[in-house]
Amino acid sequence: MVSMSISDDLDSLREQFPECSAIAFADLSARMVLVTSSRKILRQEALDALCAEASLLFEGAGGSSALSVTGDSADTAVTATPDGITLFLRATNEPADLLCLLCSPEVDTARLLAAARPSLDRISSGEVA
Amino acid sequence: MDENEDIARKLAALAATSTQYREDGARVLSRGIIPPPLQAMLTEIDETVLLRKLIFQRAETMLALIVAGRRLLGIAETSEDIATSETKDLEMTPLETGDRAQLAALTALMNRFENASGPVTIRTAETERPGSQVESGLSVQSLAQAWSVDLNAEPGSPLGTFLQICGRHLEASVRRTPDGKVEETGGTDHSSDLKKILKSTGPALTVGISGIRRGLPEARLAICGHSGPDAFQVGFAETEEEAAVLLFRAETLGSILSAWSETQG
Repeated sequence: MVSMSISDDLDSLREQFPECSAIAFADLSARMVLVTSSRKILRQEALDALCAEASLLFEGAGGSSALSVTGDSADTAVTATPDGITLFLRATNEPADLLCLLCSPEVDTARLLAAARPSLDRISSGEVA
Repeated sequence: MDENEDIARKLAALAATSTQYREDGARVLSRGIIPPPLQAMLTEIDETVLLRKLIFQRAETMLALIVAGRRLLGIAETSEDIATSETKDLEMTPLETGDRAQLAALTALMNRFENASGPVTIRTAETERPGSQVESGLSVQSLAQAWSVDLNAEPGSPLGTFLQICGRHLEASVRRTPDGKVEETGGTDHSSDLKKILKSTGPALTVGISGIRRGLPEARLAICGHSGPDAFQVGFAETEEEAAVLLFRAETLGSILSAWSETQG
């Protein structure tokens, strides 16, 4: 049986979406990117910024999202610029596990999210290492 | 408008950096929604004095019109996806004022072209006049009336247009207009929460993101929520002059992002 690494999983996900230039798996509690799959090398400052942005979106200054209307903790967040969008996903069972996806505006977000969620949950559950 | 002013206006339009051309030389008239395709096409007809064929294209959908003297003289050809037997009969037939059947077929054709997707481009080519009557053709004003196009409509603000496009996808929204008024749409139990986000937590969030993004493109739309079925997401959008908070179902996230991309480019 061929075992799949986290890198393989992220590479496979990114290859399905040409509009997705980079994917990072991060630990939100440590604010640290652990693995990346990217067409170009991402600088450490950019990785740190991704974690900080995710932290701000999901946890805000007071521990809950500034955009919450229900008080529940969110599992998806997005920021959009004229050049692209960044999608953030938290794992279902381990909210500290985070996937960050950097994409061009043309990306099919519904299809990407549908593919990214199982990938994140596989990584988070230790199914791939 | 005198001739010199007209020439100056056209030169300015040609020099405008916003004018985009495709590799095949086609000029982009509309990115799909902005400006409204029919309005942009009528403007092209209104600016065409000499006899020309105006070839409008949206992806595989094509519509070629014969125009002269700022009037629509006839239809040269259409792609199969928008053609009907009525419009086929109209091809190279002179269009006449007062012919209701002609106008109805033409309007239906234009609506099908408007409902096609993708940016609208234009190319021009030499052509022959349909029929022999010099005075035939339909004026831009009569076409605008038939197609329900307001030729003088001012473009809405980017944020207002964004909300308009999002329209049916929104469960609720609140918007702060440039004059400081707060407009509310949709009934929701979360109205006070949305207003709080509009007033304080949304702006604080984007300030925080700007601080993180130093040197990177500024994010003016932030969204957070759940991804499950029937789950809701909340978005905070802002421009230089306006801000809005949107409440929408998670499955429409792609449409919301497409609308943002369309209006903020």
